[in-house]
Amino acid sequence: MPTALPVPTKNPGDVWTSSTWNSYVRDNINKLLNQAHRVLTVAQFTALAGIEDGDEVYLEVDATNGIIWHLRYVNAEPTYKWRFLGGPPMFSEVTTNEATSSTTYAALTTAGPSIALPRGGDFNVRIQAALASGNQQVAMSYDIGATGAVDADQVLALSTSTTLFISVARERLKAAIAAATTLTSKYKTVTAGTGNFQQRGMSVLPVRLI
Amino acid sequence: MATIDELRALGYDVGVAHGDAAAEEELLATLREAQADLPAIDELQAAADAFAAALATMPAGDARNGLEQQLGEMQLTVSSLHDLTDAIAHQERAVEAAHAMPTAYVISGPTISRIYVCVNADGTGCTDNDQATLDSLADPDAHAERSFQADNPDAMAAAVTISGYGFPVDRPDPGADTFVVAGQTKTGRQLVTLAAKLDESPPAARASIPERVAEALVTAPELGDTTRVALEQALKPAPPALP
Repeated sequence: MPTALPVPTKNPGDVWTSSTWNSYVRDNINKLLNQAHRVLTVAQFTALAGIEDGDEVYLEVDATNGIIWHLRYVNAEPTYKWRFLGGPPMFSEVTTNEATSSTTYAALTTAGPSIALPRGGDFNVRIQAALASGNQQVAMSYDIGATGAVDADQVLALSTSTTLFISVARERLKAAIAAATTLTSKYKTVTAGTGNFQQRGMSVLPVRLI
Repeated sequence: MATIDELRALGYDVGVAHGDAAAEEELLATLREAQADLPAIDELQAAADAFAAALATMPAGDARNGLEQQLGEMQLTVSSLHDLTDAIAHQERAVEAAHAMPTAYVISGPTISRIYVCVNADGTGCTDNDQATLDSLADPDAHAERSFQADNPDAMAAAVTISGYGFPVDRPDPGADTFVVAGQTKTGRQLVTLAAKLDESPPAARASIPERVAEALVTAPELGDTTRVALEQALKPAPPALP
Protein backbone atom coordinates (compact mmCIF):
# COMPACT_ATOMS: atom_id res chain seq x y z
CA MET A 1 0.00 0.00 0.00
CA PRO A 2 1.42 3.45 -0.85
CA THR A 3 2.58 5.41 2.16
CA ALA A 4 1.59 9.04 2.49
CA LEU A 5 4.42 11.56 2.68
CA PRO A 6 4.22 13.50 5.98
CA VAL A 7 3.24 17.09 5.24
CA PRO A 8 5.69 19.69 6.62
CA THR A 9 4.44 22.41 8.92
CA LYS A 10 3.40 25.54 7.05
CA ASN A 11 4.69 28.76 8.56
CA PRO A 12 3.39 32.28 7.99
CA GLY A 13 4.77 33.66 4.77
CA ASP A 14 5.54 30.27 3.23
CA VAL A 15 4.45 30.00 -0.39
CA TRP A 16 3.10 26.83 -1.98
CA THR A 17 5.40 26.06 -4.86
CA SER A 18 4.38 23.62 -7.55
CA SER A 19 6.79 20.98 -6.25
CA THR A 20 5.50 21.37 -2.67
CA TRP A 21 1.94 21.18 -3.90
CA ASN A 22 2.56 18.12 -6.01
CA SER A 23 4.51 16.24 -3.34
CA TYR A 24 2.46 16.99 -0.30
CA VAL A 25 -1.04 17.65 -1.57
CA ARG A 26 -1.70 16.04 -4.94
CA ASP A 27 0.32 12.87 -4.40
CA ASN A 28 -0.93 12.31 -0.88
CA ILE A 29 -4.54 12.76 -1.90
CA ASN A 30 -4.08 10.35 -4.78
CA LYS A 31 -2.51 7.78 -2.49
CA LEU A 32 -5.36 8.16 -0.04
CA LEU A 33 -7.92 7.72 -2.76
CA ASN A 34 -6.23 4.88 -4.57
CA GLN A 35 -9.06 2.36 -4.25
CA ALA A 36 -7.02 -0.49 -5.68
CA HIS A 37 -4.69 -0.36 -2.69
CA ARG A 38 -7.00 0.87 -0.01
CA VAL A 39 -7.72 -1.28 3.04
CA LEU A 40 -11.31 -0.75 4.18
CA THR A 41 -12.69 -1.25 7.63
CA VAL A 42 -15.93 -3.20 7.86
CA ALA A 43 -17.85 0.06 8.35
CA GLN A 44 -16.19 1.65 5.31
CA PHE A 45 -16.94 -1.49 3.32
CA THR A 46 -20.59 -1.27 4.37
CA ALA A 47 -20.67 2.38 3.29
CA LEU A 48 -19.32 1.79 -0.22
CA ALA A 49 -21.40 3.30 -3.03
CA GLY A 50 -21.19 3.29 -6.80
CA ILE A 51 -19.50 -0.10 -6.96
CA GLU A 52 -18.96 -1.51 -10.42
CA ASP A 53 -18.46 -5.04 -11.67
CA GLY A 54 -14.86 -6.10 -11.17
CA ASP A 55 -14.04 -3.63 -8.40
CA GLU A 56 -11.67 -5.04 -5.81
CA VAL A 57 -11.18 -4.10 -2.17
CA TYR A 58 -9.17 -5.19 0.82
CA LEU A 59 -11.39 -5.73 3.87
CA GLU A 60 -9.80 -5.58 7.31
CA VAL A 61 -11.69 -8.12 9.43
CA ASP A 62 -9.33 -8.14 12.40
CA ALA A 63 -7.63 -4.82 12.96
CA THR A 64 -5.70 -6.10 15.98
CA ASN A 65 -4.11 -9.05 14.22
CA GLY A 66 -4.00 -7.59 10.70
CA ILE A 67 -6.30 -10.08 9.00
CA ILE A 68 -7.31 -8.68 5.61
CA TRP A 69 -9.46 -10.32 2.95
CA HIS A 70 -9.15 -9.51 -0.75
CA LEU A 71 -12.55 -9.36 -2.42
CA ARG A 72 -13.86 -8.79 -5.96
CA TYR A 73 -17.32 -7.46 -6.78
CA VAL A 74 -19.25 -9.70 -9.17
CA ASN A 75 -22.47 -8.10 -10.29
CA ALA A 76 -23.86 -11.38 -11.64
CA GLU A 77 -24.03 -12.84 -8.13
CA PRO A 78 -27.64 -12.61 -6.93
CA THR A 79 -27.02 -11.77 -3.26
CA TYR A 80 -23.46 -12.29 -2.09
CA LYS A 81 -21.69 -10.18 -4.69
CA TRP A 82 -18.25 -9.95 -3.10
CA ARG A 83 -16.23 -13.04 -3.99
CA PHE A 84 -13.28 -13.95 -1.80
CA LEU A 85 -9.97 -13.86 -3.67
CA GLY A 86 -7.53 -14.44 -0.84
CA GLY A 87 -6.31 -13.80 2.67
CA PRO A 88 -5.76 -15.64 5.95
CA PRO A 89 -8.63 -17.13 7.97
CA MET A 90 -10.03 -15.69 11.15
CA PHE A 91 -8.80 -18.17 13.76
CA SER A 92 -9.71 -18.81 17.38
CA GLU A 93 -8.13 -21.32 19.75
CA VAL A 94 -8.41 -22.57 23.34
CA THR A 95 -5.74 -25.10 24.26
CA THR A 96 -6.59 -25.93 27.89
CA ASN A 97 -7.96 -29.40 28.67
CA GLU A 98 -11.55 -29.26 29.95
CA ALA A 99 -14.34 -31.81 30.31
CA THR A 100 -18.09 -32.16 30.10
CA SER A 101 -20.57 -34.90 30.91
CA SER A 102 -23.45 -33.13 29.16
CA THR A 103 -25.28 -35.23 26.60
CA THR A 104 -26.49 -32.08 24.84
CA TYR A 105 -24.22 -29.45 23.32
CA ALA A 106 -22.87 -27.13 26.01
CA ALA A 107 -19.97 -24.79 26.66
CA LEU A 108 -16.93 -25.94 28.60
CA THR A 109 -15.48 -24.04 31.57
CA THR A 110 -13.63 -21.85 29.07
CA ALA A 111 -16.20 -21.01 26.42
CA GLY A 112 -15.24 -21.04 22.78
CA PRO A 113 -13.37 -20.94 20.52
CA SER A 114 -15.66 -18.39 18.90
CA ILE A 115 -15.58 -16.06 15.91
CA ALA A 116 -17.72 -12.95 15.39
CA LEU A 117 -18.26 -12.69 11.63
CA PRO A 118 -17.76 -9.25 10.10
CA ARG A 119 -20.34 -9.59 7.30
CA GLY A 120 -23.08 -11.92 6.14
CA GLY A 121 -22.28 -14.51 3.49
CA ASP A 122 -21.17 -18.04 2.73
CA PHE A 123 -18.26 -19.31 4.80
CA ASN A 124 -16.03 -22.35 5.09
CA VAL A 125 -16.03 -23.13 8.81
CA ARG A 126 -13.40 -25.48 10.19
CA ILE A 127 -13.34 -26.88 13.72
CA GLN A 128 -10.67 -29.02 15.30
CA ALA A 129 -9.87 -30.50 18.71
CA ALA A 130 -8.14 -33.30 20.54
CA LEU A 131 -10.92 -35.40 22.07
CA ALA A 132 -10.80 -38.12 24.72
CA SER A 133 -13.47 -40.18 26.44
CA GLY A 134 -14.13 -43.20 28.59
CA ASN A 135 -15.02 -45.50 25.71
CA GLN A 136 -17.97 -43.48 24.44
CA GLN A 137 -18.36 -41.05 21.55
CA VAL A 138 -17.81 -37.35 22.23
CA ALA A 139 -18.51 -34.48 19.85
CA MET A 140 -17.74 -30.85 19.15
CA SER A 141 -19.97 -28.60 17.04
CA TYR A 142 -20.90 -24.92 17.07
CA ASP A 143 -23.82 -22.54 17.56
CA ILE A 144 -24.48 -20.20 14.65
CA GLY A 145 -25.76 -17.10 16.41
CA ALA A 146 -28.89 -18.12 18.28
CA THR A 147 -29.19 -21.39 16.35
CA GLY A 148 -27.96 -24.23 18.50
CA ALA A 149 -25.16 -26.59 17.50
CA VAL A 150 -26.20 -29.62 15.42
CA ASP A 151 -24.69 -33.03 14.83
CA ALA A 152 -24.46 -32.32 11.10
CA ASP A 153 -21.61 -29.90 11.81
CA GLN A 154 -19.82 -32.01 14.42
CA VAL A 155 -16.46 -33.63 14.74
CA LEU A 156 -16.76 -36.95 16.53
CA ALA A 157 -14.33 -39.33 18.22
CA LEU A 158 -14.22 -42.26 20.60
CA SER A 159 -11.22 -43.13 22.74
CA THR A 160 -10.82 -45.75 25.43
CA SER A 161 -9.53 -43.40 28.09
CA THR A 162 -10.03 -39.78 29.09
CA THR A 163 -6.27 -39.38 28.76
CA LEU A 164 -6.04 -40.91 25.28
CA PHE A 165 -6.61 -37.95 22.96
CA ILE A 166 -7.51 -38.21 19.31
CA SER A 167 -7.11 -35.13 17.09
CA VAL A 168 -9.95 -34.54 14.66
CA ALA A 169 -10.89 -31.72 12.28
CA ARG A 170 -13.62 -30.97 9.81
CA GLU A 171 -14.50 -28.17 7.40
CA ARG A 172 -18.00 -27.40 6.14
CA LEU A 173 -19.51 -24.83 3.84
CA LYS A 174 -22.11 -22.87 5.78
CA ALA A 175 -24.25 -20.81 3.45
CA ALA A 176 -26.18 -17.61 4.05
CA ILE A 177 -24.99 -16.74 7.53
CA ALA A 178 -26.35 -13.37 8.62
CA ALA A 179 -24.16 -10.39 9.43
CA ALA A 180 -22.98 -9.85 13.01
CA THR A 181 -23.29 -13.55 13.81
CA THR A 182 -20.98 -15.20 16.33
CA LEU A 183 -20.00 -18.84 15.84
CA THR A 184 -19.49 -20.46 19.27
CA SER A 185 -18.10 -23.95 19.83
CA LYS A 186 -20.13 -26.41 21.92
CA TYR A 187 -19.39 -29.92 23.22
CA LYS A 188 -21.15 -33.08 24.39
CA THR A 189 -20.75 -36.72 25.14
CA VAL A 190 -23.03 -38.80 22.91
CA THR A 191 -23.79 -41.36 25.61
CA ALA A 192 -23.30 -41.11 29.37
CA GLY A 193 -19.73 -40.50 30.41
CA THR A 194 -17.10 -37.80 30.42
CA GLY A 195 -15.61 -36.14 27.38
CA ASN A 196 -12.30 -34.27 27.53
CA PHE A 197 -11.39 -31.64 24.96
CA GLN A 198 -8.15 -29.75 24.41
CA GLN A 199 -6.40 -27.85 21.61
CA ARG A 200 -9.79 -26.64 20.44
CA GLY A 201 -9.73 -24.50 17.31
CA MET A 202 -12.08 -22.78 14.89
CA SER A 203 -11.22 -20.99 11.66
CA VAL A 204 -13.38 -19.21 9.11
CA LEU A 205 -12.75 -18.21 5.51
CA PRO A 206 -15.38 -16.53 3.38
CA VAL A 207 -16.55 -17.79 0.00
CA ARG A 208 -18.81 -14.84 -0.81
CA LEU A 209 -19.90 -11.85 1.21
CA ILE A 210 -22.83 -9.50 0.98
CA MET B 1 -22.22 -10.10 34.30
CA ALA B 2 -18.63 -9.63 33.13
CA THR B 3 -17.67 -6.85 30.73
CA ILE B 4 -14.83 -6.42 28.28
CA ASP B 5 -13.19 -3.90 30.64
CA GLU B 6 -13.01 -6.54 33.38
CA LEU B 7 -11.06 -8.80 31.05
CA ARG B 8 -8.59 -5.99 30.37
CA ALA B 9 -8.19 -5.53 34.13
CA LEU B 10 -7.45 -9.25 34.51
CA GLY B 11 -4.56 -8.89 32.10
CA TYR B 12 -6.03 -10.26 28.89
CA ASP B 13 -4.88 -8.76 25.61
CA VAL B 14 -8.05 -7.14 24.27
CA GLY B 15 -8.21 -5.46 20.87
CA VAL B 16 -10.88 -4.47 18.40
CA ALA B 17 -11.33 -6.81 15.46
CA HIS B 18 -13.96 -4.80 13.60
CA GLY B 19 -16.78 -2.33 14.14
CA ASP B 20 -14.84 0.36 16.04
CA ALA B 21 -17.01 3.48 15.75
CA ALA B 22 -14.49 5.65 17.61
CA ALA B 23 -11.78 4.84 15.05
CA GLU B 24 -14.14 5.74 12.21
CA GLU B 25 -14.98 9.05 13.86
CA GLU B 26 -11.30 9.77 14.38
CA LEU B 27 -10.55 9.17 10.71
CA LEU B 28 -13.46 11.39 9.69
CA ALA B 29 -12.10 14.18 11.88
CA THR B 30 -8.66 13.77 10.29
CA LEU B 31 -10.11 13.99 6.80
CA ARG B 32 -12.14 17.07 7.67
CA GLU B 33 -9.07 18.66 9.19
CA ALA B 34 -7.09 17.93 6.04
CA GLN B 35 -9.83 19.43 3.93
CA ALA B 36 -9.89 22.56 6.07
CA ASP B 37 -6.18 23.12 5.42
CA LEU B 38 -6.66 22.90 1.65
CA PRO B 39 -7.96 25.68 -0.56
CA ALA B 40 -11.70 25.72 -1.23
CA ILE B 41 -12.64 23.91 -4.42
CA ASP B 42 -14.72 26.82 -5.70
CA GLU B 43 -11.88 29.28 -5.23
CA LEU B 44 -9.33 27.04 -6.88
CA GLN B 45 -11.73 26.29 -9.73
CA ALA B 46 -12.34 30.00 -10.25
CA ALA B 47 -8.60 30.65 -10.24
CA ALA B 48 -8.04 27.87 -12.76
CA ASP B 49 -10.80 29.25 -14.99
CA ALA B 50 -9.30 32.76 -14.85
CA PHE B 51 -5.87 31.33 -15.49
CA ALA B 52 -7.17 29.44 -18.52
CA ALA B 53 -8.90 32.55 -19.87
CA ALA B 54 -5.70 34.59 -19.53
CA LEU B 55 -3.66 31.88 -21.18
CA ALA B 56 -6.01 31.84 -24.15
CA THR B 57 -5.03 35.44 -24.92
CA MET B 58 -1.29 34.74 -24.86
CA PRO B 59 0.67 34.07 -28.00
CA ALA B 60 2.00 30.56 -28.50
CA GLY B 61 5.55 29.98 -27.29
CA ASP B 62 7.71 28.69 -24.47
CA ALA B 63 6.23 31.04 -21.89
CA ARG B 64 2.71 29.86 -22.66
CA ASN B 65 3.75 26.21 -22.66
CA GLY B 66 5.15 26.52 -19.15
CA LEU B 67 2.02 28.23 -17.89
CA GLU B 68 -0.19 25.59 -19.51
CA GLN B 69 1.67 22.96 -17.50
CA GLN B 70 0.87 24.87 -14.32
CA LEU B 71 -2.77 25.11 -15.39
CA GLY B 72 -2.84 21.36 -15.87
CA GLU B 73 -1.57 20.86 -12.34
CA MET B 74 -4.23 23.21 -10.96
CA GLN B 75 -6.98 21.32 -12.78
CA LEU B 76 -5.62 18.02 -11.49
CA THR B 77 -5.67 19.37 -7.96
CA VAL B 78 -9.27 20.55 -8.36
CA SER B 79 -10.15 17.01 -9.40
CA SER B 80 -8.34 15.57 -6.37
CA LEU B 81 -10.16 17.95 -4.05
CA HIS B 82 -13.46 16.71 -5.46
CA ASP B 83 -12.28 13.16 -4.70
CA LEU B 84 -11.43 14.18 -1.16
CA THR B 85 -14.94 15.55 -0.75
CA ASP B 86 -16.27 12.19 -1.92
CA ALA B 87 -13.99 10.41 0.55
CA ILE B 88 -15.33 12.51 3.40
CA ALA B 89 -18.90 11.71 2.39
CA HIS B 90 -17.99 8.03 2.32
CA GLN B 91 -16.39 8.26 5.74
CA GLU B 92 -19.51 9.99 7.09
CA ARG B 93 -21.52 6.99 5.91
CA ALA B 94 -18.92 4.68 7.47
CA VAL B 95 -19.38 6.38 10.83
CA GLU B 96 -23.13 5.83 10.57
CA ALA B 97 -22.56 2.19 9.64
CA ALA B 98 -20.14 1.68 12.53
CA HIS B 99 -22.69 3.01 15.00
CA ALA B 100 -25.31 0.62 13.58
CA MET B 101 -23.11 -2.47 13.99
CA PRO B 102 -21.77 -4.15 17.13
CA THR B 103 -18.09 -4.13 17.97
CA ALA B 104 -16.20 -7.39 17.75
CA TYR B 105 -13.29 -7.71 20.16
CA VAL B 106 -10.52 -10.25 19.94
CA ILE B 107 -9.18 -11.56 23.26
CA SER B 108 -5.98 -13.47 23.98
CA GLY B 109 -4.56 -14.78 27.24
CA PRO B 110 -3.20 -17.90 28.93
CA THR B 111 -4.10 -20.96 26.81
CA ILE B 112 -6.37 -18.73 24.70
CA SER B 113 -5.46 -17.49 21.27
CA ARG B 114 -7.94 -15.08 19.74
CA ILE B 115 -11.43 -15.57 21.06
CA TYR B 116 -13.74 -13.23 19.13
CA VAL B 117 -16.68 -11.76 21.04
CA CYS B 118 -19.44 -9.41 19.91
CA VAL B 119 -19.81 -6.64 22.50
CA ASN B 120 -22.43 -3.95 23.11
CA ALA B 121 -21.59 -0.31 23.79
CA ASP B 122 -21.80 -0.96 27.56
CA GLY B 123 -19.16 -3.69 27.34
CA THR B 124 -21.53 -6.65 27.77
CA GLY B 125 -22.01 -9.44 25.25
CA CYS B 126 -24.37 -9.00 22.29
CA THR B 127 -25.92 -12.44 22.78
CA ASP B 128 -26.16 -15.07 25.50
CA ASN B 129 -23.21 -16.92 23.97
CA ASP B 130 -21.08 -13.77 23.80
CA GLN B 131 -21.90 -12.96 27.42
CA ALA B 132 -21.18 -16.55 28.47
CA THR B 133 -17.77 -16.25 26.84
CA LEU B 134 -17.03 -13.03 28.74
CA ASP B 135 -18.21 -14.61 32.00
CA SER B 136 -16.12 -17.74 31.50
CA LEU B 137 -12.99 -15.71 30.79
CA ALA B 138 -13.61 -13.50 33.83
CA ASP B 139 -14.15 -16.42 36.23
CA PRO B 140 -11.24 -16.10 38.69
CA ASP B 141 -10.75 -19.82 39.35
CA ALA B 142 -10.83 -20.77 35.69
CA HIS B 143 -8.50 -17.88 34.85
CA ALA B 144 -6.04 -18.94 37.56
CA GLU B 145 -6.12 -22.53 36.35
CA ARG B 146 -5.52 -21.53 32.72
CA SER B 147 -2.62 -19.35 33.83
CA PHE B 148 -1.10 -22.24 35.77
CA GLN B 149 -1.53 -24.63 32.86
CA ALA B 150 0.03 -22.16 30.43
CA ASP B 151 3.03 -21.69 32.74
CA ASN B 152 3.45 -25.38 33.59
CA PRO B 153 3.00 -27.45 30.44
CA ASP B 154 5.43 -30.13 31.67
CA ALA B 155 3.40 -30.74 34.82
CA MET B 156 0.17 -30.93 32.85
CA ALA B 157 1.71 -33.40 30.41
CA ALA B 158 2.95 -35.45 33.38
CA ALA B 159 -0.59 -35.49 34.80
CA VAL B 160 -1.89 -36.96 31.55
CA THR B 161 0.91 -39.56 31.55
CA ILE B 162 0.20 -40.58 35.15
CA SER B 163 -3.55 -40.77 34.52
CA GLY B 164 -2.79 -43.03 31.59
CA TYR B 165 -1.15 -45.50 34.00
CA GLY B 166 -4.37 -45.72 35.99
CA PHE B 167 -3.67 -43.16 38.73
CA PRO B 168 -6.31 -40.43 38.69
CA VAL B 169 -4.81 -36.96 39.03
CA ASP B 170 -6.90 -34.24 40.63
CA ARG B 171 -6.38 -30.48 40.77
CA PRO B 172 -8.12 -29.54 44.04
CA ASP B 173 -7.11 -25.86 44.07
CA PRO B 174 -7.42 -24.05 40.71
CA GLY B 175 -4.25 -22.16 39.91
CA ALA B 176 -2.22 -23.71 42.76
CA ASP B 177 0.86 -25.88 42.27
CA THR B 178 -0.94 -28.78 43.89
CA PHE B 179 -1.87 -32.14 42.40
CA VAL B 180 -3.42 -35.10 44.20
CA VAL B 181 -2.33 -38.49 42.86
CA ALA B 182 -3.82 -41.61 44.45
CA GLY B 183 -4.36 -39.70 47.68
CA GLN B 184 -0.90 -38.14 47.76
CA THR B 185 -0.38 -34.40 47.35
CA LYS B 186 2.39 -33.45 44.95
CA THR B 187 3.80 -30.38 43.24
CA GLY B 188 4.13 -30.04 39.50
CA ARG B 189 7.86 -30.77 39.66
CA GLN B 190 7.22 -33.93 41.71
CA LEU B 191 4.60 -34.94 39.17
CA VAL B 192 7.12 -34.69 36.35
CA THR B 193 9.53 -36.91 38.29
CA LEU B 194 6.79 -39.42 39.04
CA ALA B 195 5.75 -39.59 35.38
CA ALA B 196 9.35 -40.27 34.38
CA LYS B 197 9.56 -43.13 36.94
CA LEU B 198 6.33 -44.65 35.65
CA ASP B 199 7.62 -44.44 32.09
CA GLU B 200 10.75 -46.28 33.16
CA SER B 201 8.89 -48.94 35.12
CA PRO B 202 5.23 -49.16 34.08
CA PRO B 203 3.04 -50.66 36.84
CA ALA B 204 0.90 -52.52 34.32
CA ALA B 205 3.77 -55.00 33.65
CA ARG B 206 4.02 -56.01 37.34
CA ALA B 207 0.26 -56.60 37.60
CA SER B 208 -0.11 -58.64 34.47
CA ILE B 209 0.92 -62.07 35.86
CA PRO B 210 -1.59 -62.33 38.76
CA GLU B 211 -4.26 -60.93 36.47
CA ARG B 212 -3.62 -63.69 33.97
CA VAL B 213 -3.62 -66.38 36.75
CA ALA B 214 -6.90 -65.05 38.09
CA GLU B 215 -8.44 -65.07 34.63
CA ALA B 216 -7.43 -68.69 34.10
CA LEU B 217 -8.79 -69.81 37.49
CA VAL B 218 -12.18 -68.17 37.34
CA THR B 219 -12.86 -69.37 33.80
CA ALA B 220 -11.99 -73.01 34.54
CA PRO B 221 -15.02 -75.09 33.40
CA GLU B 222 -15.06 -77.41 36.48
CA LEU B 223 -15.62 -74.57 38.97
CA GLY B 224 -19.04 -74.10 40.52
CA ASP B 225 -20.65 -70.63 40.71
CA THR B 226 -20.03 -70.20 44.46
CA THR B 227 -16.36 -71.08 44.16
CA ARG B 228 -16.02 -68.91 41.11
CA VAL B 229 -17.42 -65.84 42.87
CA ALA B 230 -15.21 -66.47 45.89
CA LEU B 231 -12.16 -66.78 43.68
CA GLU B 232 -13.04 -63.63 41.79
CA GLN B 233 -13.20 -61.72 45.04
CA ALA B 234 -9.99 -63.21 46.40
CA LEU B 235 -7.99 -62.79 43.22
CA LYS B 236 -9.20 -59.33 42.35
CA PRO B 237 -5.96 -57.45 41.70
CA ALA B 238 -5.06 -54.73 44.13
CA PRO B 239 -4.42 -51.28 42.72
CA PRO B 240 -0.79 -50.87 41.68
CA ALA B 241 1.49 -49.14 44.15
CA LEU B 242 3.10 -45.86 43.40
CA PRO B 243 6.83 -46.18 42.75
